[in-house]
Amino acid sequence: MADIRIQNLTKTFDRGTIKAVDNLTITIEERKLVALLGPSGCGKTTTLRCVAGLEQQDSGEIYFGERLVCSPERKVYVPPEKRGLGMVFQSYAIWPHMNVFENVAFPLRRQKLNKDEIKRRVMESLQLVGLQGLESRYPTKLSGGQQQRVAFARAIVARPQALLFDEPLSNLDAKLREKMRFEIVELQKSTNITTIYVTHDQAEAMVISDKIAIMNQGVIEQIGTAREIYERPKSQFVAGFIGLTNFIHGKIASKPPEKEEWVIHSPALGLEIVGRSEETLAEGQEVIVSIRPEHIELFRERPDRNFNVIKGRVERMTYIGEYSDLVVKVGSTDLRVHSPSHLVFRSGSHVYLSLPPELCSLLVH
Amino acid sequence: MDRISTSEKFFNLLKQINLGTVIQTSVALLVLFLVLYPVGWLWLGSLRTDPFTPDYTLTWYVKIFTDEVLWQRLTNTLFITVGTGLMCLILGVPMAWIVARTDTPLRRRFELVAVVPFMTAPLIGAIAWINLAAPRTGLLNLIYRQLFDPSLRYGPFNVYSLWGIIFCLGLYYSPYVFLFTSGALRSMDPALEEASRVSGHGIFRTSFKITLPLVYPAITSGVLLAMVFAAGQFAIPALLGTPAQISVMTTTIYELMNRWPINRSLAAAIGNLLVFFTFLLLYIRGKLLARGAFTTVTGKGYRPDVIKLGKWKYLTLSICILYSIVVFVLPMFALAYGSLVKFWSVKISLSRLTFWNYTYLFTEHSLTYVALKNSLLLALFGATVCVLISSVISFMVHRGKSPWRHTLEYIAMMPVGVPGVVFAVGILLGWIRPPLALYGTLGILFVGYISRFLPVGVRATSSSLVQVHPELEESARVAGTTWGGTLLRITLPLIKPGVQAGWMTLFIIFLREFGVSLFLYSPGNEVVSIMLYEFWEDGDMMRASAMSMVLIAITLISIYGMRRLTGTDVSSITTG
Repeated sequence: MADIRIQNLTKTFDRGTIKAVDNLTITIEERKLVALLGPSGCGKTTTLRCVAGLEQQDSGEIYFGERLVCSPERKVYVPPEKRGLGMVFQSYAIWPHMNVFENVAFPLRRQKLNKDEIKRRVMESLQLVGLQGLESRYPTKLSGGQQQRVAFARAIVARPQALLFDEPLSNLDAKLREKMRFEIVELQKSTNITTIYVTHDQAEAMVISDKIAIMNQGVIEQIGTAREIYERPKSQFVAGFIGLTNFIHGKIASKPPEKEEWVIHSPALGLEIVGRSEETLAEGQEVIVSIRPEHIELFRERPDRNFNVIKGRVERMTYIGEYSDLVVKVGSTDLRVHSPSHLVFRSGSHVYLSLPPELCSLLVH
Repeated sequence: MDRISTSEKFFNLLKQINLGTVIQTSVALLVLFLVLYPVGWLWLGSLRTDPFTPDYTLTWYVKIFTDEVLWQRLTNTLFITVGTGLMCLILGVPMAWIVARTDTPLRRRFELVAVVPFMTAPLIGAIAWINLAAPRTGLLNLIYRQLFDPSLRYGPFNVYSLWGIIFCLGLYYSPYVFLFTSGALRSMDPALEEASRVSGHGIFRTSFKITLPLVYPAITSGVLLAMVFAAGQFAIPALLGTPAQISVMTTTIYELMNRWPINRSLAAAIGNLLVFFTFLLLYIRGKLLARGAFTTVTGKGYRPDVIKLGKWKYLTLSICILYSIVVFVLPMFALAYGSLVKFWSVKISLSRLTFWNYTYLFTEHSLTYVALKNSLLLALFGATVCVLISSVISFMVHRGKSPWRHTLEYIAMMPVGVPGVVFAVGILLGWIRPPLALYGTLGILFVGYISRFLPVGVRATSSSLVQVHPELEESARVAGTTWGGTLLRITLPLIKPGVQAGWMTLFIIFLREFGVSLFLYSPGNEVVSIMLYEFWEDGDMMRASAMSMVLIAITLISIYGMRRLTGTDVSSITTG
């Protein structure tokens, strides 16, 4: 096992007119699973394909452990077949002219293994993905989920240095997708292979990965655990891409004694609120406060709290089932609030909103 | 409570009969007649001592297998068919790979070259290659002898041989393998190959273990189709085989129908055997396609991985250029040269070029205008009627509810496997005597063209109709449009491009049709291909070349005009 280090990776298409990946640096630690998450066209798949060797970057270096596998500057390019990888494609890419056994055995054919060893390894992999007994089936006779499992078995059978997943679940229906997420986590934990997982589905990324790297326009906006990314987004893009959020514009007014906390004056709300940021901000600096709808608490009477309690008027309330979705007008701004569904607020009624300061993330433009 | 009286039943039945049903039923019956009537005559003729005497016998079938000369011709056809298949494989697959999968410069241009044989006719190809490689007078031979060995009087190239025939057929039909394979290579999910690369296999192992097996159905499909056409081809073996006394099944049928001792029953029997052979090839093709039905063709637009060849790309570029020279440049040059010399001299000289042959064609040769008029008339009306019939058939097959619609489709498509000369024998037998005595008029050519090439029209209209989702029509019906209004304002506009391409394809086929025409024409009803054939029979390759150039020019002008008028793409025109 080894870590994967990507340093200053840049890849352009169409003679440099389209910059797919822009000076990207990331290290995927040994035995960890990192998800590259972002909207389509953000460069996540291109990054993965550079790691696989299916594309060659314009500049930058990729290391597997201490082994340099690609560096245009140093004229190093290890072709994909020499990189020792396992990869699962979006279309599964199960070879239709081979049965399940032959598909899974194919990566072993390069190694000088005897027949019994190949059979043992294939069976072991098929067992791991729960496909024992289907060795002689042809792919056209398999369901989408089964094809997916064949792709997993094939990716791990040669005990690769690293596993690469390119949106493997996007062709499955919602129920199966949810089930497969957990299977991937188990597979990765039991094999302990360093893994890069590309997806545009935030829930999938959150379930599966040790760390998530949010990508946008060829750069990584933020790397962190699911909780860090969700609760402490560092940019407006990250906050807006993951889940729903409210953006409140304002200016830094002062710094209270608490660590990482700041007082912001918001003209839209017509009052001051407290938010958190690890960065050092200057007084008068423009910031955006990001607060998730479900992090805002609603009260009929003014709660006994020192700060971040705002009075508002309910504009609209929608019953969703798991929660109620409210639009509350504060000053000239509408705030989205998710409140427990047993609480009923009438449209037009006055409510008090409490915004926990540690969940009010300050974003700099 | 109240029983419906018989008269009421009859009245209800009458009410159901509308214009649509009448048209559909009559067209279906017409198609059944057009196809099955000549096929029936083929069988009937082959089982009688004489086609028109009710005296049944198996003599002719026995004769084919016992007569040494006939047996030899049978094996010639077999040899040529297999040889053509192999040549198409050798030419088509590498070209497809180069064009679809490498970074060879100008690769997309070379795909257009593959369409060139479809634009000319086998007859013209044979004339061009006689000009190039006839053992004594062929241009290539003359040039070779002048440059390397002036003492030689013959050769080294000899197109009047089995190999010459295979070579020409291979050039003509290789585009099937080429285009089928390049299409399959393009529509293949590149992840299938990438998965192999990532699992540790290099480019070459991936090509042989993954790519090749996956495009194998397309390759075999193309090769078998080329073999079907080669087995039934007449012009090339006739022009290249006759001087060397090489006969095949198709040329034997012609001899038996036209030269003493005439034996139409034996011709019909040989024809049936040939049809059996081509249907066998088509059956194998169908089986292979059904079994290898791993649909790599997904309809998704993939951007396949292009292999960067480095300096090897100059080798592949040379291969492409060589292919273009052999398929396009050399034949065109040979025709142009032949048409511009007054006498075929052993010394090649570009200084004595003259338009004399063209002047002769258009000022002295009275047949030119007759043949051109006949060909154009047949092409215009034949293509129009054929497309109309095809549209109705396609509509019945893909939108109708009749349990017989698949049988109808099968019968309409049947002539695909019946070589033109064989079909012509059936037509001739069926339409020569009263009450259906069309022989001696242009009408029999018209009937022959339409019935033989019905499958081309049906395929064109069907493939565009299949692409129109029935919901598009249903939503028009729900929106309050009648059945006829929907057909006129929704369906027809949507399938128009396909219909136009089908019309154009048929127009070009009919313009230069030879296999059927040779059997069915009579003095006064000559068409352009017959003129070419007569020049060749007189040994006048100069005028044959000139007329070929005229025919090619008319074809190109028609394609260009059609494109300007309707925007029909040239690449949608591919013919059998």
